[in-house]
Amino acid sequence: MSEPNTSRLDRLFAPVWAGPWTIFRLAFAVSGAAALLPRYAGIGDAYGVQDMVFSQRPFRLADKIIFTEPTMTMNWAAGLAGLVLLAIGGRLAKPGVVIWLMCSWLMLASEALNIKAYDRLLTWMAIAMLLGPSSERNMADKWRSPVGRWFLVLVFCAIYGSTGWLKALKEPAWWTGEVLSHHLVHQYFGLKPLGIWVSAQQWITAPFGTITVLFECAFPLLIWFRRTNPWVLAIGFGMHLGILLLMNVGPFSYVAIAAYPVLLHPEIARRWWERLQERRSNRSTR
Amino acid sequence: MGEAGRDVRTTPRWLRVPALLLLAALVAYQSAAYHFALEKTGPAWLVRSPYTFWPATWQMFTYLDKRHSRVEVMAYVDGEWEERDLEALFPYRWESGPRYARSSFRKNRTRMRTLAQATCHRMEPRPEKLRFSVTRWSKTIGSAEQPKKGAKTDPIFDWACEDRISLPRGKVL
Repeated sequence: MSEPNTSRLDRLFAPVWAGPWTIFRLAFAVSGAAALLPRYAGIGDAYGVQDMVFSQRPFRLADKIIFTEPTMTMNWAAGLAGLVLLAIGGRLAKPGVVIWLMCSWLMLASEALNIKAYDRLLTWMAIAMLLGPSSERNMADKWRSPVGRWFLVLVFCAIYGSTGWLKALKEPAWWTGEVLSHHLVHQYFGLKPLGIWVSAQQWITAPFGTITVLFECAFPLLIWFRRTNPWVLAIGFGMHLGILLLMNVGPFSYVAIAAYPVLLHPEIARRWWERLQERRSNRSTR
Repeated sequence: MGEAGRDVRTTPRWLRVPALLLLAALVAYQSAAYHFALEKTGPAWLVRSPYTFWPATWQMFTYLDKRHSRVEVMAYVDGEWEERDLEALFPYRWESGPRYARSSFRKNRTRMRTLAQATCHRMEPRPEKLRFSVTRWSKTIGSAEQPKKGAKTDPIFDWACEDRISLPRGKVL
């Protein structure tokens, strides 16, 4: 490789502050547990069931193995143990991610019906976890390769950009808030007390619908600029908080928000961290 | 350790081009998934392998949906049709509802046959026949009660419990 190319690659791969990876690791373990724990209740009626077994594309697992309640319970527990290893950190963190990933997908493939968006999102995030410095401890003092963060940013650009542009191009009722109003009273996803009230307030649903579409469409561009990065994440945080308060979509909001510390521009994250440390030391010297 | 005693490391030189290629592949895959999500009918190879882009297809609450829909079942027992509570027979449910609630489930004959035979299997007393239907009714904005105004019920599947189905790995139910 020629000299200019080498220095260009050196600049591109310049290490970035890795502090946010600790929060991501812990938040991922918590949100992964939020997705996995409730599935325990479904082992008897879905994952280890013997009379509603499916083998259909893309999952043909049941042609090879049909889990019983005890074997699926063991698989579930192994997945949970993987998340515990991840949360502890250190050398076993990445093997923990792999164990959790395998056990989770054995559950999902065995059920072969309801793979949630948060299951797929967690999987993409797990790949970022494997690419990034997620297993190390004391990350506040470390600078590491930006590749894991890039992977995560690209995945979120795809998710928000894709869903946002589909809404913008295919469904004009998003701009008026009509779609939001109707989703808030969906018999399964909706009907939360606050959501029911909001569904009838067009002065709330219309701007919220518009902001959602604008945020999702603009995210793939604005996330890359240092100046706009924290603002676009603040709007995203608000959107996920709104989803959490108004709808029943399981741990989707926790899962998405878990990645936000790494999505934040590393230099902004470092500045915020240093300010926090300064405040702490000022308090302790007083 | 890098400058000023910092612990600084990055991707080794030999791994940088493969890392960039991986990211480029990710962008290409996600972009293709979005491209084909916009099209009603994809190319022939995608019709043959419809799950190619499924891991990266992110249609979430995209379209306006003004109606509720609920799958219901009637059981033919002792010469009479009785309404039965399907959700009590299959209690586990997702945020999106019971396992059989999605329209993709209803439209799949193999899945409906499995549901039907599992329903026969679980019902006491065992019915002779089952009739599945879907009831659709308008959502009521701003209300916890969702009365079945303008409800329309369409039969979707009939099943005789004496029939048998083969589950994966050859088990007959």
